[in-house]
Amino acid sequence: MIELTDLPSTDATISTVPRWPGTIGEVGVGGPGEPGTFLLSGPGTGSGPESLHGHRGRWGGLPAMDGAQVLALLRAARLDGRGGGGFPVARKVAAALATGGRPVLLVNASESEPASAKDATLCALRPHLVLDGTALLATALGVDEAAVHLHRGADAPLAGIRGAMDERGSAGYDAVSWTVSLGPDRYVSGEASAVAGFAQDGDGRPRFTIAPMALEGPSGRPTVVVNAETVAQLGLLARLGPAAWASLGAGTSPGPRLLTLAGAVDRPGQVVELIGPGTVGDVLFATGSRTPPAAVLVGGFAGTWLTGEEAWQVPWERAALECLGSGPGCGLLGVLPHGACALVETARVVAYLAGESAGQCGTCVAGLPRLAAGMASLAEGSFRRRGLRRMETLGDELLGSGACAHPDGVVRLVRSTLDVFGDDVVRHLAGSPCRGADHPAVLAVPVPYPTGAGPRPAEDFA
Amino acid sequence: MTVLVRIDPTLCRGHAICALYFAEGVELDQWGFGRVVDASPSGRRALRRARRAAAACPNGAVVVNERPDPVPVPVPTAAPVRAGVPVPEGASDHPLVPASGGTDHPTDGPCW
Repeated sequence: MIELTDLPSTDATISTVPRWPGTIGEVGVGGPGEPGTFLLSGPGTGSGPESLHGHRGRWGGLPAMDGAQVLALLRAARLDGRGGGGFPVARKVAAALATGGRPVLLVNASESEPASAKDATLCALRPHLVLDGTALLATALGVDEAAVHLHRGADAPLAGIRGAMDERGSAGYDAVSWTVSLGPDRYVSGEASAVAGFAQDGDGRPRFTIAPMALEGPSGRPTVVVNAETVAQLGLLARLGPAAWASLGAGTSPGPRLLTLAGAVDRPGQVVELIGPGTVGDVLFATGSRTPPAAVLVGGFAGTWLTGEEAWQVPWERAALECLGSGPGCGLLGVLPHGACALVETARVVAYLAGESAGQCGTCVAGLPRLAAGMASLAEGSFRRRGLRRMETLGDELLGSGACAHPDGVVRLVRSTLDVFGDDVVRHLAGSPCRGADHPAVLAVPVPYPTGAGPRPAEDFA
Repeated sequence: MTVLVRIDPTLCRGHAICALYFAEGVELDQWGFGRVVDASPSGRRALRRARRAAAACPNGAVVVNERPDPVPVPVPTAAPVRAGVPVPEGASDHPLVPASGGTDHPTDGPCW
């Protein structure tokens, strides 16, 4: 475990947000159009999607690179997936190429995480950066087709991406034949196999796969599914080169990082870009917080809780977060204020996630509602110690049981809650009134599907 | 020969027949859904039992994937990339990343 007191304090650098270019190692935090940003640099939020003309004016044209050069660039920069899994993009591409088949390229901009908004922000404001990276990835894979997958109802990102595809087509900017794939607005439909499966046959439920999709996707062809932020990073990386791009990050997390703020923050849903080796505290400070909150939900609804003190000091970097049993995930920071109850908040999230099962795998269908019921009774204080042990067993059975990692994510959240808020769990078990019980809801969680009614029907995923 | 036994959880309905035929390789959870604990059975008898379990599953959920060991396919070699990539003025080199090469996996840094 890392000694948090040994970490250098970065308070000095965050009292004013530094302006890039600055000294390497300086921390910058900024939203769309704010100085010091890279992915989000350019016009502000109110200006809508950046035009091809504007994009070209700021970044120049699409860098002329051949496939081997793009692959070498991905390797040198160690670009990892930004959708949550953190899988190295170079390995996906190399695996698909090694099959010798004609790969399918899909950009996943569905952003199922209800509280996350980074991919939507990129598609709505910087669509050409997303498509530039996609075009380069298409070159690496030797294909001339690419599809961007979005959830239905994501109007601003859809308008941004569609408009950008039209502009590029009529300007002859790239040689890619672009399509948009509009899938069901369901949590698990943003999972990579669900995205690839939907593109193949219109069924947006996760698939059971034996081989990795980069070797054989639902269509039988090697299928590379990459997150929208990941390709936007490639668009930036191709302009800056691997060294300069990596220097915008820190250690095990090279490159700039996009984060979405949720919960008790000034502007829930605000997306910021973090430059340099900043901590979660730096990000929260730059967006208006002055003291550590009670706790932070890190990485998404299927993420992990960190206590406010821990979170405030941990660098937003893969190795550091993993030392604390967490990880960057999709870059969500869900802030829990003092006075609110983490068990109550988690119970609401777990109820939502349990209702989002696609109803395909028996253990998920049977187990998640029980886990949700357990969390709910723990939150309201009607729980016994024996129930806690049952929940532990249930977690063991759910882990790795599904075709997708949905149950694993819910178990991870529940376990981290029980770990981090052990004292609260004891108080709740003892039946003492919870001080946070009357606190208004903190995280914006969609209305859960009633779990008593069985899983969602297959039509919900079409 | 590489053998991989898997149970497709989207097809499994908990008939538990796999656990009868391939007892050493499958465990049942509290609802009777199977979970593979020995995905690569060694020995001809174990492999035969796994195949039998696959044939006996009424839902076709048990998959025994037998593949000849893959012939290594040459992966395209990485060309040096620095030459073709303009580095903007003011951007400094950083010791973190070599000009080209590097490994595919980014998680080999020191633990904090």
